[in-house]
Amino acid sequence: MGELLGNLGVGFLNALGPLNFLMIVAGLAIGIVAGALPGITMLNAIVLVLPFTYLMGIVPALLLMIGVYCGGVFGGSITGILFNIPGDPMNVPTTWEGYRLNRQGKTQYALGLAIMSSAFGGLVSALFLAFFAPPFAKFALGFSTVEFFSVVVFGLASVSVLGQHSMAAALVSLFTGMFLGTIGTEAQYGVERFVFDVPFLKTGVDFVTVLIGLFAIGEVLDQIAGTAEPAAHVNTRAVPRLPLLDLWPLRWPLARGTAVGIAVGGLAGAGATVSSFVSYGLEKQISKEPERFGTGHAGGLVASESSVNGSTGGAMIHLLTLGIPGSAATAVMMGAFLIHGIQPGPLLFTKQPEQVYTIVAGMVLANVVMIALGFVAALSFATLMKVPAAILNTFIVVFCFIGAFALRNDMADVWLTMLFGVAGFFMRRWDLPIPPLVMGIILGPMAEGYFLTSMVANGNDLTVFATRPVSAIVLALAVALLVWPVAKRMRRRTT
Amino acid sequence: MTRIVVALLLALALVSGVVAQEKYPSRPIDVICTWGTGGGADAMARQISTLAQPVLGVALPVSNVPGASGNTGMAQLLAAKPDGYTVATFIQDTLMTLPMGLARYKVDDFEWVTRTQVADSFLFVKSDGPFKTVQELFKHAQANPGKLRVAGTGFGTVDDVSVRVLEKKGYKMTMVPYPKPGERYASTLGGHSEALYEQAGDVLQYLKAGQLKPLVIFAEKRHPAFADVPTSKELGIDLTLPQFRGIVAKKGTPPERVKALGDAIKKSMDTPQWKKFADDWYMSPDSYMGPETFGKWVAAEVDTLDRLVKEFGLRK
Repeated sequence: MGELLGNLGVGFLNALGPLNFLMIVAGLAIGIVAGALPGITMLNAIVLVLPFTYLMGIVPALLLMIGVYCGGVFGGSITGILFNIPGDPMNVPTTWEGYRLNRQGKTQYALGLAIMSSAFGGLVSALFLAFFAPPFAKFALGFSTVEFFSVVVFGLASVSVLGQHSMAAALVSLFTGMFLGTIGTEAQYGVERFVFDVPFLKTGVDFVTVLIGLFAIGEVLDQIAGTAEPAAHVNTRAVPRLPLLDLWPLRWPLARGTAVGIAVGGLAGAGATVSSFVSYGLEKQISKEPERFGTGHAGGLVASESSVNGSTGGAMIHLLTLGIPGSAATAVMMGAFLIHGIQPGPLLFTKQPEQVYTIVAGMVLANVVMIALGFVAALSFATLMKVPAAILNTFIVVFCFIGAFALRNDMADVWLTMLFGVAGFFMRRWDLPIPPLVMGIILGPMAEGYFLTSMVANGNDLTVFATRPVSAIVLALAVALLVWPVAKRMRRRTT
Repeated sequence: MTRIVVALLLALALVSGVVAQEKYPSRPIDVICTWGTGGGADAMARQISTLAQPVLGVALPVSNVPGASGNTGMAQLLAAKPDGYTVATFIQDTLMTLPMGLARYKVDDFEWVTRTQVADSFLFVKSDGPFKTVQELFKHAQANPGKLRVAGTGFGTVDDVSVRVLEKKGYKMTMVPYPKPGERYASTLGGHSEALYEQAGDVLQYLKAGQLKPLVIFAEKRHPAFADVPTSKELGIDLTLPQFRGIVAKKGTPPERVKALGDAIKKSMDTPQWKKFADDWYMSPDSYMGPETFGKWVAAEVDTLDRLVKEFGLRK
């Protein structure tokens, strides 16, 4: 313990060095802005900064990327709360509650909650990484694709009950998304599905085109058509306040969200998106007032936002102790390690403690600095609310098309984005919820891959999902999540 | 009508002018890594990307497109323009899908730019697991056909073929495909698969940490760094499918651009950084093949693999 604290102390001193600290701040700023902009995801930003890290040492390189990572997973919630356009898929549940709060005139409250719960989740997960990484990693290895499949199924189940009135509409949307996810070359046997000999369809439909099409372009079209509901009282002076006292009544959602974030980020290695949906679904199930979810429920916002940043520490445990990237973001960081000739893995903590603990300490610092930077960013983006809609919408559309084109340097993705934009417009008209579709295309292929691998590894025995305890518990929770609203409605009908 | 003709002619002149004058490369070259992060193909792609950047004067961003034994990334390469601005990694595992009938392209669909690496494959097990020698592993496989799981890259790959050849010799095991290297290693370290088919450099950190150990090398001769590890040949299994990795472009890429790419990669491979990387990853010293020879070698290799597939009746 003493040695650990000593290492961590040295780590903090190093991380506070001018270059390292500058990298953390720069990374956070890049991450928050990229996360907030529709069409530019946190992942884009990490990939973009990677070449700049070639010339640095591994520590500043990693700190820059960690800054982008921590800031990026949070940034999308700003535009989600202010404009109903989540910058990244993991901020969708936050948008669901936060935008409602914004429309009720509680913009400052919503932004403040998002900043504080993100920073809290990230901070706790970074401390968890500092103190428990090696034993947790050993524990995490006990989980296989069977458990990963169950967690993703829970994510899918929670999407379908995500604060809507009609479960049927949610399921239609979810299955449409899952269908879109099957397009392209299947990952195990290389079977081409729904490709129709169109070359660009062979690599599938990128979820980013769906995300920005449905959310951003759809929202813009909706505003042009003048059907977007007017706000109760738009608060253009949306200075977020730091709701330290407001957090106390929300301490349990905050704790649960953080725990789910660390667990899903570290165990399943499924990353921020899955943990945000799992946490939201779990919170709704536990909450005493599930019917208020989707109408601006602070607990739902806090739970999802803290789990998003909670997952960052979990994913870093996987990377630093096992050399196994659990999320797309840590995969790029792995690339940075390899470029510097370091194989992250079991020896990193013992052979290069100074470097590792500087990275860990940097992550702790990043989450503290994020409170200030998140505040500034929220303030700047809030002033955009004063910009006339015509101008703002033009910029949103431009960013979306840049983001879509940048996916593969292919105009086809821009056309797809436009197509999904029109679809998003009609889905709003027909009361079809959008989040389930986006989650379907992200989680569907993950579930399929984990399922098929589990089947090959277990001799096509379907019972493994029930006989492995963790998987059984998670699947039971998923079933409960789906059956609960139906059962309640039926009971109401009979009495 | 005349206006349209004039416009077309102008457009044509503009396009041809651009093509004639454009200096290659004048913008970043996309490198598609057909496997996930953290494995051998990824490390190779990123080394080339870093080392070739000063030579070519443009960035070579690497994007990982794993899936279908590398063929998802191949589909992306073949969907791009053959202008030399998109290249991809190509490894033996993906080549194996050609004779196995899982690939949707031919050897002729690519410009074979450079072979960068050749390395032998091993079967690894957990150090604290039940198997101390390859004989114990094979004996267990014989007694419990299909029960032992080998983590590999994907169906139709060298990993798959090796496991199936072992099956024909009486050691039936199940190959579980994990296109992402991290998932592959985690499954063996976590005991979700009993063995791992891999090259030594890819799992170096687990070897050094004493978490994994090699049981058998699929080669003619023992490897000097692993002198006590028996070869497949010693065990009477005539199966040597060394892993190769290289860089390919789409067919139709202008020859001078293929040459420019090949020269840049050659220069990258002559640097001390690359030499150290190749040594660290236990690469064969005569791995290099340029654009002139790589394609011919691959064509011959496919014929060899074809014969192997027929001999063992592997293709359904």
